[in-house]
Amino acid sequence: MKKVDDRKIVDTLKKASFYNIKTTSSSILERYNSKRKSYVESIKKHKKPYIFGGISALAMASVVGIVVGITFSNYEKNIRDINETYEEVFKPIHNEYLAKQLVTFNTFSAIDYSSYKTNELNRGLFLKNKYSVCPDEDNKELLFNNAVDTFDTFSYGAKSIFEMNKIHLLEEVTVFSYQNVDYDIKNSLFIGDKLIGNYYFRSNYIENESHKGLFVDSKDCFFEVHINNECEKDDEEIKEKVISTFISLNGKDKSVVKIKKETEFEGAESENSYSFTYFENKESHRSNSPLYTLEYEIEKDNEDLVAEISYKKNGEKSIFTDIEMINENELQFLPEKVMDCEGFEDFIQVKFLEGNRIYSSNEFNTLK
Amino acid sequence: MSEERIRFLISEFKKGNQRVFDEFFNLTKNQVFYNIFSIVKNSENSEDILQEAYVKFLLNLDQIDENSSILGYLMVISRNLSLDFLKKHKKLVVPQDGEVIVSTNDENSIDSNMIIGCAKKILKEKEFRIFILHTLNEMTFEEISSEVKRPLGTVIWSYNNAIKKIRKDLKV
Repeated sequence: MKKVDDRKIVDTLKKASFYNIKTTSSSILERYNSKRKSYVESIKKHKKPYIFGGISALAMASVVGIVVGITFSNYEKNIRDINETYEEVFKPIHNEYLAKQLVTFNTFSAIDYSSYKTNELNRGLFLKNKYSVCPDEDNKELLFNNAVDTFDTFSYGAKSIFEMNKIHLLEEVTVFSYQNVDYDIKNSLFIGDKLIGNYYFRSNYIENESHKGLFVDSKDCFFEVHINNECEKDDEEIKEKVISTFISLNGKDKSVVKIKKETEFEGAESENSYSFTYFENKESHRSNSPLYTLEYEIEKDNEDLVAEISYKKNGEKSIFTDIEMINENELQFLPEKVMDCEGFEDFIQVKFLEGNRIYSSNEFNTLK
Repeated sequence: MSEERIRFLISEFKKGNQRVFDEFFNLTKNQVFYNIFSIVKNSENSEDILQEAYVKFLLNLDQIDENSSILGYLMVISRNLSLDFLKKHKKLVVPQDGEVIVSTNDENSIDSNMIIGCAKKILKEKEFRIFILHTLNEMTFEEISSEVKRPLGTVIWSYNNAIKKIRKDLKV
């Protein structure tokens, strides 16, 4: 991407000297030494009980173990209440990652992108031709409509991002065969009380950080699933990366979807980013030639969740930022960019009502 | 500024030679300061957070892997402290009129301050941060992409947008 001509601004700033920072190294050292001294003194005061540190540590480990045990046994109890035939099953270590990968896949696959159907939700992406010239920035109504048409395609996906906390998996032992493969564990995936699909796998497939299974969605479409998990940890940050590949087995198009999820934890804050890449078939997957890529990020800052979605197809990019839920059925977003052109300068709200969406800004509104 | 030199200074400090800290501070302070300023937008608060960041950095020196980027570590600490500051003070601290963020010794400083003042007023937070990190902190777009954890294309796009807005507002 080409940089705009910023020479005049940058040169003006560079001609000025750097700000004269008043903080000195000696003031920092003084404060550091003072803090270190009080820390050392507090250690000395508590030294005696540390003689029993070994016992304390053991006791703590036992407490943790008991708490964890209670937590898991409550979880099992809830499942037993739901399904009386539940038996003790092998719990995949990647349960939580698995559920979110499946929901991400299901959410953004809900529309059949490959067939270019001219239904309401596809209109924004497939009937609109690539801009030869970007719309006039003063034509706000056109900018509003373009932003709405593009966002509407994944509006339900955007909403479901904020429903991740309602995901749960119901596990049970099963006997299920498909294409000469026998599966012995079934996970039913729910958002709230709505069944999204079932995920089958063989208990002996769990090896190190990889996972393989079969996902059957609510329309009886079958997908072979491969999931890999990586985790890096240092003292300040923990980074997790989960990559799953969904290969359509009985769909018309034999498409491949690759979902990559990255999470970074720093203290109380976490950032999640997902990318959803759609390949029309195995060949385009092998040659890394996607039809489109959708990326979204969620930032969690204590209780607030804010998301950002970017969508790229045919080299055109659309970016929607500051996506937040206003209430259970309404969210708002800021269209920063629509198909590589100027977005819309104001927030747009979308209200979800019985299959329809009402979009509104300060000046305009429309029903989808 | 050499990462090698920084590592050497830190390893000396760990051995108890606190005299090297002055050089270390002078080598790194501008980058850390502007990293903070790009978030909190106020020089006085930035100074406070700057000191806190270095103290925290020194207190956790034993846990730092000397093979990783020392400056990167400082940037993470300073960024987190800046974000914590914003959380505690939900309202953005409005800079006083005439606040100088670049030296007053330069005859062009008024123009520079106009640019910064304009940027603070009209840019979104993410745009402002990227703008400051590239112009005053002299970070490359790749470095900024890594620091703000956004795709490179988004960073460049945000920067271009910021420049366009400033140019439009100041009519330059």
